[in-house]
Amino acid sequence: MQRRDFLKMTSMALALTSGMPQFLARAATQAGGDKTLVVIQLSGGNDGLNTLVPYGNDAYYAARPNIAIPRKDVIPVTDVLGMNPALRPFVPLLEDNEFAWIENVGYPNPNRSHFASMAIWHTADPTGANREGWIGRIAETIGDPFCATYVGDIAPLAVRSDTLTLPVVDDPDTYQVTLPSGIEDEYQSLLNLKRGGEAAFIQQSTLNMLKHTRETQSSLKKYRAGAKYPESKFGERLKDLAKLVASGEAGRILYTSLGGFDTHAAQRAEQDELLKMLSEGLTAFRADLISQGLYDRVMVLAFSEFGRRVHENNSAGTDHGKGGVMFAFGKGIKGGIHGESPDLENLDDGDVRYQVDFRGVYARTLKNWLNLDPREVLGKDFDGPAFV
Amino acid sequence: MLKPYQGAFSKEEAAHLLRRTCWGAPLKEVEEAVKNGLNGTVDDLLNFSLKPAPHNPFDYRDAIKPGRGFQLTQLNWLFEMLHGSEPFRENLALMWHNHFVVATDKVKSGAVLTDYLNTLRKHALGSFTDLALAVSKHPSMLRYLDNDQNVKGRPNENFSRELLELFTVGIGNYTEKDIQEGARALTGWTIKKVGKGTGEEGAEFVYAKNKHDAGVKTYLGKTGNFSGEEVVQMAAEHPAAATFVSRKILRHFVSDVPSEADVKALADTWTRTNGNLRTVIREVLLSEAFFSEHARNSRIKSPVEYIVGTLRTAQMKPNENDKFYEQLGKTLARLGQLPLTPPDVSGWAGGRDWISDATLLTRMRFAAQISKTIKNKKDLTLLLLGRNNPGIENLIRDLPADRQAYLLMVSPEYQLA
Repeated sequence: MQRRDFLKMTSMALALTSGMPQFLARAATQAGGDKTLVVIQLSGGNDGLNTLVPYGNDAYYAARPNIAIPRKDVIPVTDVLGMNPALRPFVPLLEDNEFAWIENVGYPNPNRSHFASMAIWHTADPTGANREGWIGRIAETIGDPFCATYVGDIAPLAVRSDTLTLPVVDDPDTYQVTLPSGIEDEYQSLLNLKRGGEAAFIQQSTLNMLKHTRETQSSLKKYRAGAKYPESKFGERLKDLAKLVASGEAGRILYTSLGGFDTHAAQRAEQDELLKMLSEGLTAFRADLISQGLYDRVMVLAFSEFGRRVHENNSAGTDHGKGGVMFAFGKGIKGGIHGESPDLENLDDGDVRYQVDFRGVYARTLKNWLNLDPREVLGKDFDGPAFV
Repeated sequence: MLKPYQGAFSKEEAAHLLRRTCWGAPLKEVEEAVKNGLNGTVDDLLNFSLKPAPHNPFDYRDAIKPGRGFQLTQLNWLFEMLHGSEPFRENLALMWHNHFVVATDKVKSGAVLTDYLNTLRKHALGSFTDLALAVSKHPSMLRYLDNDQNVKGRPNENFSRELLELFTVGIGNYTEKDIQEGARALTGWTIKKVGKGTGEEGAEFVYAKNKHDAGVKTYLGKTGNFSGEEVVQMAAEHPAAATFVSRKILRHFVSDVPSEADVKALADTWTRTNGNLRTVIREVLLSEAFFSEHARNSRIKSPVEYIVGTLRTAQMKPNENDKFYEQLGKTLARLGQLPLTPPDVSGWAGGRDWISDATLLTRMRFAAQISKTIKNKKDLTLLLLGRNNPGIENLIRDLPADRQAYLLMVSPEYQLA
């Protein structure tokens, strides 16, 4: 039997029986660990240069006469690099040395399409040959479809696998099944019928969902919010993340996204607002985890599919570029700036050249935080900056 | 050319055809289709009128607060889908909306969005080049992809990129240079606001000649002093567009994973007819591919198909209570497909994306609510699943109609289109 068929069958068996089969219990132990990774996807191509600003570089101001962050507004991190003022809530984390910026991140032969580029980050495969997400592959590698949860409505490719459906929660409070009375047996029988094609995929997804909702509901009651979150959809999502971490049913990886970074026009107003929402939301999330006594086991990692062109366009915005910035924070993080200030004298067709392959960042995270073998997930060896 | 379907046209095939084209139909319409035959039914579908549904309670002009207008347009469309006499026209509009995407995060005007939908309806079965030109010059698109701010000197590339990547030729068939040159040709296309200066105002296309870059450009292998119109036309008539858009049409009507042979066969028809959408779509609906076992087992229902299809099949009468439609809009949003609000410019990817814990739970809740209203057991499985299914029928036979309907609606089979 193929490993995949085997996994498919076992996850169905798992949902149909109350006791966990021996071999799965073993896999789950290997998959265990008390560390949680929170991935934040910034969709639309966040402009790295206006996020971590090269304020010591005149070329930056020459390229962006209208949208550069004025020197006086930058929050300095080093002599040449500093943060967008909308990121002020992150200052205490930097001071505590638990906030890392990773500069000039990208991948070979960069693609300026949102969708091709996002798929490359999701699959960790710049050739586009792999159709499974890197987190979906983690689930397959350790044989546990419940190791990662996406919080939101439509799960990104990163948390998809060919054979497993990973949990997606849009609202933990309504994350439960209530059948009309008197049809429980028929419903069970309906889900036990033999099926093929896409119906079999949906059948398996339903069985996984039944198991996961049951377990999550039984542990959700523990949570009381320990911080005030900003009133936004993103704030709500982060509160849901904290709730799932506190319930102990989140799996080892949580994933959510914030969109709107496609700033072709009027960039300052739009991006600053998003960065404010991002930093306020994430610092509330951190405060909440601290009050729950859970912060030590959580690491947050944020990425976007690409940075933007160095020169502004005529609509006070920027078009699609290449290298960008990532950031991470948590107690296990080595704070500060990893990598060099972007070289604005030596551009790649108008864009910042990447210096760090994002797969190296994933590899570090897998190995040093999640205690997993990066090679199994990424296919070969990568190494990245020592931020964790 | 796709191989024409030669088999029988009984209730099962008629139910399948009406599910895929009109989201669903009550038994009476299925029986009429059988009487009418396959060719007759398809011709009736293709010859739709442009008349809107009568007594639609939602009108963007009734908005009092700015920002409400576009919501009224969304509800107006939902009402049209549910109660209008031309569901196939609306289905085509939805397909083209998911191709030439605009969204309410940047286009917040009810007037502009209503006119955008009317543009899609009008050109839905015309020439693809006309459709592409009409949408490209539409204020909604000019705003959505920032071409209204694309001026000579340092162009805004947003629309130029998506024109090639998502609307016409697809990745692999153009270079970064084509995007930059296309953007130059499209400089000067902008919009002028019309109306009373409220948030609900309209807009119209304007060509700002002094902002247009009239220099020589090289685009998709040709060199000339191209205008915006010429660039859109060259992209729409490029051979790769035939394949790229044919694949999308097959994904909409036939399968989440259409066969390469079918894509090629349909692209041949497209090329032969210069992208005549009526011929292309008619061929799909009359094809063996459309009625194949593969097609019937490999397409996951979108939220609109789930919600609108269920309510059309159950023959829901127009509801007096506006809140009912507001609620349906919220359900569609939770399921990931609120019309005019796709996640990004690539639209809804569909397929397995529609299935997650969260969406399965929302579908179950909707099923619980709607199945209560179903009282008649006759041909329920055929109507809901599009075919008979003895396995499921045996399980539910002794239950009352509403419980039968619930179990059918939460079955894996009902999640398929």
